[in-house]
Amino acid sequence: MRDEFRRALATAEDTLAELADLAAAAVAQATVALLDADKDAAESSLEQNQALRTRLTELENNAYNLLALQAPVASDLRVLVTVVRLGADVERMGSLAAHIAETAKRGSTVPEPLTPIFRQMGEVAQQMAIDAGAALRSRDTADAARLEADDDTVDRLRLELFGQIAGEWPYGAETAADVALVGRYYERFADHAVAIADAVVYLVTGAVAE
Amino acid sequence: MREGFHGQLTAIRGALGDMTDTAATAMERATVALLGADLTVAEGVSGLATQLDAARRVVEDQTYEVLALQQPVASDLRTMVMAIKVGGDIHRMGTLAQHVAKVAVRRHPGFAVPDELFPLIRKMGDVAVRMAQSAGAVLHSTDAADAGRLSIDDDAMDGLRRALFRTLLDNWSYGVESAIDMALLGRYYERFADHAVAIADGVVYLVTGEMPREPDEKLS
Repeated sequence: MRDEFRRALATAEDTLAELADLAAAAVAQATVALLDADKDAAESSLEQNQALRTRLTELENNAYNLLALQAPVASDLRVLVTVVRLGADVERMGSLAAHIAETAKRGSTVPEPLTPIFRQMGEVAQQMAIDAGAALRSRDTADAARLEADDDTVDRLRLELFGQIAGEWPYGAETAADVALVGRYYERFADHAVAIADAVVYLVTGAVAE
Repeated sequence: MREGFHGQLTAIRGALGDMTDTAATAMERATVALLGADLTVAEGVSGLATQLDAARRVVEDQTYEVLALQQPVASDLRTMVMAIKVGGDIHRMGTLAQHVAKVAVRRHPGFAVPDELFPLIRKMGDVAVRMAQSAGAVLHSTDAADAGRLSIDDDAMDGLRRALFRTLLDNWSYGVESAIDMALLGRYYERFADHAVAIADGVVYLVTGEMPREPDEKLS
C-alpha cells in the first residue's frame, strides 16, 4: 500500500518536472514573440500555457484521488502538499510567460537598444525553468544553488533595464510601461523557479531555504 | 477525536481570516504612504508584512501538526492544502503592499503619484482594501455571499487599471520614471486583488465543492 503511494508520488513529481519544461518552452516562445514580433510564437506560447494548466488540473486531481484511496503518513503528506504547492508555482510561470506573449501579440515591440537585455532575460528564465525541472528529477541541491545565481542575474538585468529607461528615452510612456511590466514578468518567473528549487532542498534536507 | 479536529480547522481558518485583515490594513497604509509621501507610514507597512510572514509560518506549522496527529480523510486534506495555499496568498498580499510603500519611499520627499492621478490611485487602494476585507469575511464566515461582493470589486479593479493605462497613452507629461511607477503600481494593486479573489474562491470551493471561476488572473 505504502509502496504504491510512494510510486504515485514519484510520478506526480515527474509530471511536475515536465510542467517546468513546458514553462521553459512557453517563456522561450514568448521571448521570440516579443523580440521578433512573431505572432505565431506568441500563439505557441499561449498554447503551451494552456497545456500546462490542463495537465496541472489532472495532477492535482490525481493527488487528491491518491489521498482518498490511501492513508498516507505525515512525511508523505508533506511531500504531497509540497507537490500541490509547486504546481501553483509552475502555473504562475506559465501565466507570466503568457503575459509576455500577450504583450507581444498586442503589437508592443522592444526598442532596439533594449533587445540584448530582454534576450538575456529570456535565456536565463528559460534555463531557470529547465533547472527547476532538473532539480525535481534529480533532487540534487546543487541545481538549487545554480538557480540562486541565475536569479541574481535576472535582478541585475532588471536594474540595467530600469537604468536604460531612466536615461535617454525617446520611445514614449506607453512603451516604458510595457517594458517595465515585461521586466517584472521575467523577474517573477525567475522567483517561482527559485521557489521550486528551494522546495526540493526542503524535501531532501528538511530545511527551509531563506 | 474528529470534533477536536474540526475545532482545530476552525482555529486555522480564523487565524487566516485575521491575517487577511492585516493584509487589508497593510495595503490601506501603503496607499496612505504613497499619496501622502509619508516615510513613517511606509515603514509601518514593512512591519506588517514581516508580521504576516511570521504568522504564515505559524499557521503552516499548525496545519502540519494537525495532519500529523490525526488520520485525515481526503476532504480534510483538501482543506489543509487550501489553508497552506491561502497562507501563501496572504503572504503575497503583504509583499505587494510593501512594494506599493516602496514606491513612496523611492520618490520621497517628492510625491510618486501625479496630482491628476490621485483620485484613480486612491480608488484602486480603496477597492483593494475592501476586497481583502471581503476575503477575510469569507474566511471568518465561510459565507459564499461575502464572496459575491468580491467579483464586483474585481471588475471595478480591472476598469481602474484600464483607466490608468489610458492616461499613459494620452499625452503623458510626467516623465518616463513616473510612467513606470504607475504601470507597476497598477500591477501591484491588481495582483493584490487577484489574491483576495483566490482566497475567497478557495473557501467557497471547500464549502460548496464548486470552483466559482477560473482560479487565476485573466490574461487580458
